[in-house]
Amino acid sequence: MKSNKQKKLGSQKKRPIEKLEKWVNEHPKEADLPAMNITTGKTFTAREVLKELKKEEKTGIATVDKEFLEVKSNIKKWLEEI
Amino acid sequence: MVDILIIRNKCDPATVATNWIGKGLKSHLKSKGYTVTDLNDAQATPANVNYWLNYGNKRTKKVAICFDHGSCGAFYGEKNNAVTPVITKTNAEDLTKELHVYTFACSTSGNSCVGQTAVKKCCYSWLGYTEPVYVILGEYMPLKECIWSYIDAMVAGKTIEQCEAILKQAYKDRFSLHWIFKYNHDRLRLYKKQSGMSIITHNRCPSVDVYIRDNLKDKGKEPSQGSLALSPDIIITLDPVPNPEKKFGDMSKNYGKNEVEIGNDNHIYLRVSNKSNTSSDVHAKVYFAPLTTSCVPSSWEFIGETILKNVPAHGYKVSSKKDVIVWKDVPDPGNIHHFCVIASIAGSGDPHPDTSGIHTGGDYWKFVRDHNNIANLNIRMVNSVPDGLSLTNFRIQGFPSKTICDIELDAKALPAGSSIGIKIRRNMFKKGKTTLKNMYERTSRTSRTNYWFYIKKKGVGIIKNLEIPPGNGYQSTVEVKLSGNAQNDKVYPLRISQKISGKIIGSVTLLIHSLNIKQVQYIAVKSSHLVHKSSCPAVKNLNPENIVPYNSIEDARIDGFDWALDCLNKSFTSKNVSFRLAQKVLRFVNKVGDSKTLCKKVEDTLGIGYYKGGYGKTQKKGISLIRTTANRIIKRRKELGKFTSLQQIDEIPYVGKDTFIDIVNSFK
Repeated sequence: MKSNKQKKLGSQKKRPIEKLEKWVNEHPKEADLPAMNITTGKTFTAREVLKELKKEEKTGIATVDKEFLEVKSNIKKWLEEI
Repeated sequence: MVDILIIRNKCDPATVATNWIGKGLKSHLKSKGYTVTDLNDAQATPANVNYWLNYGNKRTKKVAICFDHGSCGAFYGEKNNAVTPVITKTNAEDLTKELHVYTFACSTSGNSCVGQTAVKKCCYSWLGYTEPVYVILGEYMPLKECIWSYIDAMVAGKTIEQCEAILKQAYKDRFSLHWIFKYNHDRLRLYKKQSGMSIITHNRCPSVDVYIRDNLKDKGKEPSQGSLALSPDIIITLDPVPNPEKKFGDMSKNYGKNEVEIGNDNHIYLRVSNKSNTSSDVHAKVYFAPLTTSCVPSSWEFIGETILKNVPAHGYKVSSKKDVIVWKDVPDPGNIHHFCVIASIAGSGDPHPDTSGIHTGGDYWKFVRDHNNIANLNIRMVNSVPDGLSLTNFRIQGFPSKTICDIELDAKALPAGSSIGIKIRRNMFKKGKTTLKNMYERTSRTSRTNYWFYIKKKGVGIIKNLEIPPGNGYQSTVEVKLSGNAQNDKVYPLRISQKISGKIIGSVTLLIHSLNIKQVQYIAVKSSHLVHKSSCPAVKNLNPENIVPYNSIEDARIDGFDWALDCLNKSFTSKNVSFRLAQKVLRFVNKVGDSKTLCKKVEDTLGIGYYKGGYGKTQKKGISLIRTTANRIIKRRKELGKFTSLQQIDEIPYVGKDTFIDIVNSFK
């Protein structure tokens, strides 16, 4: 069972969606830059990914596009480092 | 024939973006002295790539830079406006043999992919990515600069490992800008044939033998003969030289006195020679160490590096204005007032010597003798009038365990009647074991911690069997009182050697330049740290032991003497102030409580005479800094926390040059 201190620390940790939202607000130019996978040619912007994440949270319906899922996962890993 | 080939097609949206990353690269590389072919857009065909890269014709000598599509099996170009493989697992051996390949493309560095295959065959290095990579559409400079960081490191002569580290760091520095920087960073992989390669040392050019001389007689033969500490090919100046190729172009001459001014930027020029039948680019690295009998690599600190392009066959090249190495803000070496400077060079097929096996001074000096790619400047030039006295601190090398050694002072070249002494720590002198040869103890100078030994008769004096406790060694001092019979404008060498079992393991050379007081332009006074015109009444009838003669005010400045107020009261900048005086001013200005005290310091020190001399007219009595100016200085100090250089005071808006000079002069 978590101690009170652990619970407090846990609640302070920002969720990826909040972190991404904060980053998008701080980097409006970069948030709209399309990043392209050179092999597949598919492009995504960080703002689009944030929009999808918000939609997913609100509706509970997730996009199942494989490449989008990969980008989402990579953005989550990146958010842990910044 | 070119040094570098760039391949960047442009036939779909992804390659429009990668193509832009290579835009401007050709002119950038040409500005650094490289020859480049840029296969842009429709030119990036398999036929053109084959033409420029095939090993038989060796039209590309050093690097292939590839910005395009990639896969595990190939790197792509274009043909008929469609993506087409140009470097494949099949042709990689012929196209990339003895080259370095740098890609910004997908998947070429995956397991058993084209990059690994190429290096397994005979490509020197291949940097790529293990999976598909992302590019940002639109002209996004942070990505371009990141990708270029590896190229800039390669063309600066850095090793492939250093280039990789620089690229990784460039990615890391941009993590907060966009997620693709982390994504690409995590998929980066370098394959390399061996460690320590650079595009200068490992390429398709013929191997050469380049060298940097240990002394003027050195012709690049290994092992070299003669002094190892007097390289005429390392030239240090305080100010940049407008035309160094011309000024330092006579290889039979040893230029400059090579003293380093502490606290200021110094400039290092090199001269490198090539014994071979073909020209070569030469990469040079320069290091410093405190003045010591030994210059073991563990004591080196890196100063900088440069590339001298196209050193001609059987010829030599002097650093140009562009090639100069700037030694920024030379640090204070503490009690050891001087430095050794070490240069290591590499040419095509002739890499920098590997210093990893050097542990002792003996190893090091043998290494320098056996390798013509490395040279030292381990000397100190000292100006002296006849009957003048000079003191030089240096370090006697220590070792991890207790060591017995001899210290030899070779003063054969000094004029008869000169006095040469050396200060030795008492704990190194073991009664009953340590002996003196042609030396005696001057008991009047013996202290609780040190002995002073002097040479008895002109020649060589030796202190035998000194016991050096384990550690880095000990500071020692050599004192030379030049004979009154010394000839004007003659240089007298004094060599101090450290020997173990009769073998020299290190040495320091002092060159004592005798100058007649009546024939020099400037006289520096040791007790005041000021230099005067030789005609100044303030330097008449001074004890010769208290003065140093100079023909150049620059040399006096380098040796730490500031311009006297009575005869050299003229305009200057922070660059003209000695390290010692700068520290004195900074200590005060950083500590002073308020602007009033700062004004008072100037008011109390500088009188009417000073203003008359400096400004040519009498100013009203009691002149000081203007309070508002002093306030600006205190305000700036608050903003900075504290001043760390005089330049920071010099640059405060509205303080003015004259005020800056007045403040500094108050501390002379």
